[in-house]
Amino acid sequence: MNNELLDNVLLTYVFYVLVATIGISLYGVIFKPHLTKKIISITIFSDSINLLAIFIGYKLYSIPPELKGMSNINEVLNRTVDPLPQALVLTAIVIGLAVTLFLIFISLQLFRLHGTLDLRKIKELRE
Amino acid sequence: MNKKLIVITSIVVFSFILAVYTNLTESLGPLGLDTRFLGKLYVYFTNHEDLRLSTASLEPVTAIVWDFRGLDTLYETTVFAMAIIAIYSLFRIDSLEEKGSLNSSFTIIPRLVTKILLPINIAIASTIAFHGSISPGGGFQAGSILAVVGVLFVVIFSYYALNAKSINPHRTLLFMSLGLIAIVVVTLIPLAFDVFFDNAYLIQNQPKLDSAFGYPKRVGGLVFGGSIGLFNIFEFIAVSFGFLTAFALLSIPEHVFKEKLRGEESLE
Repeated sequence: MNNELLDNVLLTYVFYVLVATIGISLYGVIFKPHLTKKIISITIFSDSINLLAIFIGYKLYSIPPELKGMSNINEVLNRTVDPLPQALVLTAIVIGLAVTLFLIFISLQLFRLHGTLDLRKIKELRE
Repeated sequence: MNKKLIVITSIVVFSFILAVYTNLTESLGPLGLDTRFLGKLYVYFTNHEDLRLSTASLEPVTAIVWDFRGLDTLYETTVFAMAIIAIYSLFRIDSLEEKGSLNSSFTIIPRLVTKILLPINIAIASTIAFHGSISPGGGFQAGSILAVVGVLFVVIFSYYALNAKSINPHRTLLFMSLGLIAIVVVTLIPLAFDVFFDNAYLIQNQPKLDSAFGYPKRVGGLVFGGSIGLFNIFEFIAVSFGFLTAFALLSIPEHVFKEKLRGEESLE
């Protein structure tokens, strides 16, 4: 009974921490004036959402979704974690990576043109 | 300052309310207790005895990625390729003729370690790609591991050393395109079968109830997963060369671009 309570408390704690991380990264995206910090915040934002998706599919005392070396399908079904969030997160990671790469290249071009990545200074330069 | 405070407070309050609400109402399901029914169905049908219901793979995640939700992954690959092509057009450089050598300012230790690590890295990446339908892994993961080879090479030697090995962004983009074309061909082969022989569907992997078409389940006694194995290999090629394109473009020395920008200004 004590063990179950501890599991429950820890799971809830991880869930709250993930939601808090999402909030903090949103703050970074909105308020940090430097483009690099904005990009870092965006990656933290997408990563914590991905982690949340994996966490929702997680099951305590489980095995990875893998059929190799498993003869009994019922044993796998009873013990495996949910494979669907993992597959969706894989897609999300690739698209997030493509977006991040593109953002980095645009910032690099911006740096070559203006000599800075601080949005306040770039705004001044453009006026 | 006041505006900032309001936004921070609203983010904190909103996320707290959201967390408490989802936790108390269990709208995401009970955390960590049981696998959802849909997830169990995917695991159950991944390697079903009846081939018409099976994906012929041993790895549910890869089966979902390339068979159950194959169209999703096709579009995902398209997004990735579009980003690489956009980067390539943004950083277009006409002539990259400068040839370099394998000289490095580093001592012998990092140079030797890199040379030892390169073949190991390539072997690991290939294993992950070819065993994608048996054990966790697949084309994308393997491609990202192989791309590390390029980064390591540029860091320890230089961009010109990469160039001396005849690896430049134009060439890597060509190989990425070849990988993507191969993925499209694997997708379209069932349609060709449909036109000339019997009923078949787009991205079909194993035979269905009203269609006899199926990719080979095993190759040389090893579980191959039909189209999943082919997709893994071609995605491996596309992703690794896509990443190599991006890293090669990133490592082009700054003075090349500075000269290019100056040239454009003088033209105006």
